[in-house]
Amino acid sequence: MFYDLNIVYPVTQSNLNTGMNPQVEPRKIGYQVVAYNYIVSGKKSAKMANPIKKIEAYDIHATASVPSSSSLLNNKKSLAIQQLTRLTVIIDDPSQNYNIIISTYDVLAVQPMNEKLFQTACNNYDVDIISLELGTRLPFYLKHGTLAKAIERGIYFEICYAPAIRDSTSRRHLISNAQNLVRVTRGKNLIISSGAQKAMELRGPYDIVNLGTIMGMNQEVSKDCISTNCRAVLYRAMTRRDIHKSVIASAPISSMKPYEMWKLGRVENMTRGQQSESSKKRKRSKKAKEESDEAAIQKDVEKDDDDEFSDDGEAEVMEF
Amino acid sequence: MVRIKNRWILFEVIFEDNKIPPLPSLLPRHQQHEQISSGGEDGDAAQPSSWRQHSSTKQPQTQSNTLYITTKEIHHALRDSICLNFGDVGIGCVSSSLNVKYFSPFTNNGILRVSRDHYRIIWGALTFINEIRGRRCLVHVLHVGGTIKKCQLACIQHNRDQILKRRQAAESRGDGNLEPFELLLEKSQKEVMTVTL
Repeated sequence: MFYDLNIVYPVTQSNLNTGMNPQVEPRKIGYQVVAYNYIVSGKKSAKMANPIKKIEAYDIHATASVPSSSSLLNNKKSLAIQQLTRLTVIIDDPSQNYNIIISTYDVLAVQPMNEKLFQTACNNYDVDIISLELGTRLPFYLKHGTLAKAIERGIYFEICYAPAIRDSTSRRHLISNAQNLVRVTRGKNLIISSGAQKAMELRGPYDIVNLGTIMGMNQEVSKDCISTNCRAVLYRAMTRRDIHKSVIASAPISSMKPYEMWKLGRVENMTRGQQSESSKKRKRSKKAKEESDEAAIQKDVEKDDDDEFSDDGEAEVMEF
Repeated sequence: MVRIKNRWILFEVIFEDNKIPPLPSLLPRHQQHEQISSGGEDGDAAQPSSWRQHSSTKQPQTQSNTLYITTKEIHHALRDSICLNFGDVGIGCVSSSLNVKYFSPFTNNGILRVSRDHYRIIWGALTFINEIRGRRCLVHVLHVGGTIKKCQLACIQHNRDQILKRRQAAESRGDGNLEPFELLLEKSQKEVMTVTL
């Protein structure tokens, strides 16, 4: 599985006219997962909606707007391309708010513009990816101490190769910056993504592996940067988004298998359970099961008194 | 005695405009005759290397003629890219062994040979190619192998997939009058296998 976690989202009209839509093209050259990147800069209100529209025909999650934890886990080799959404916040002011309804995006990235912000991003920000503009001269040195902190916290650094394909000056900067980044991170916690605005700025996954060897990684590390590491980013994002205090994961009821339905305290009226999809219920780990969601179960029991299948201790008490 | 070892790279050029030159059989009669006779001179009808030359001397440059991209032009584009990205040293390392063996303007597939020590330079240069003869494109490497045989087989396999895919698309559009699949496959096989060391 190859991932491209950065396809710049508002696709310009001229691209659509030529029939070479960067939203479509990655599938043809070997990527299975893409993330459309919506970039915001400056202060934004926390109530900004996710503007990204996926191509329905290519979507394997056409039903669920946000791929939930379970759909990521059950991912099989599929002909369709998996489409994700990503938000990149350009931060040039320490007071800026970076978590703009992050739950509606699959991946969250920040792009700090100066050294101080880069340091705080590495030390404190709860994000998945730190992206730097490698196609230009970086205004600061990358220090191992700073980056090590981020690596410890499981944050990934991104190399976007599209500037290198666009023009020669950025190519020089990118190769030099990327080599520095590889040296400082020691090849750990790196991902390579396209950052493509046009379809013609994409390259095939193995071409990128080769490009990685030019940037000073070896072939295996380079391959990990577009496969394993990207997968790790998605899992991290999923944990950040869906899992509360790293104990309880929530998922829509629709994702539950029929034999798990007893957890909801009802067996026969499954249709009703599917209707109330929107109200998310907690799918619990075994230990937390009894305690966490008794309110929901109690409500169910109150609703249909004749339901005898609920096997939770509390529910029985309610019936008496 | 130590052999000189090579890498063979099978690549695909994807053009932004997505245009395919008209097949020789679809051109007007007199043009077709001329082109085939001139193409036959080097004994390889699959590589219309002399077509463009011929047309530029006699006829005004038409749209369809610019679409015929030859091995020579691929070679030039690649050389320019090496020159730009890897400089004189890059050219020096590579130029003795680099040879574009095959390129078909119809399938946009090509095979090239380069010495094993420096194939990453070539691959990098291919990655950085942006346009060929003013047409924006991207180069996608499909296979890297130690012998030409495996590249040819990979090429045939790729052609087969493409034929199937396009047929399916054509059928779903409701186009009748398709050439039989076996015939097309045989054609592609013959064409690719004529390439020799």
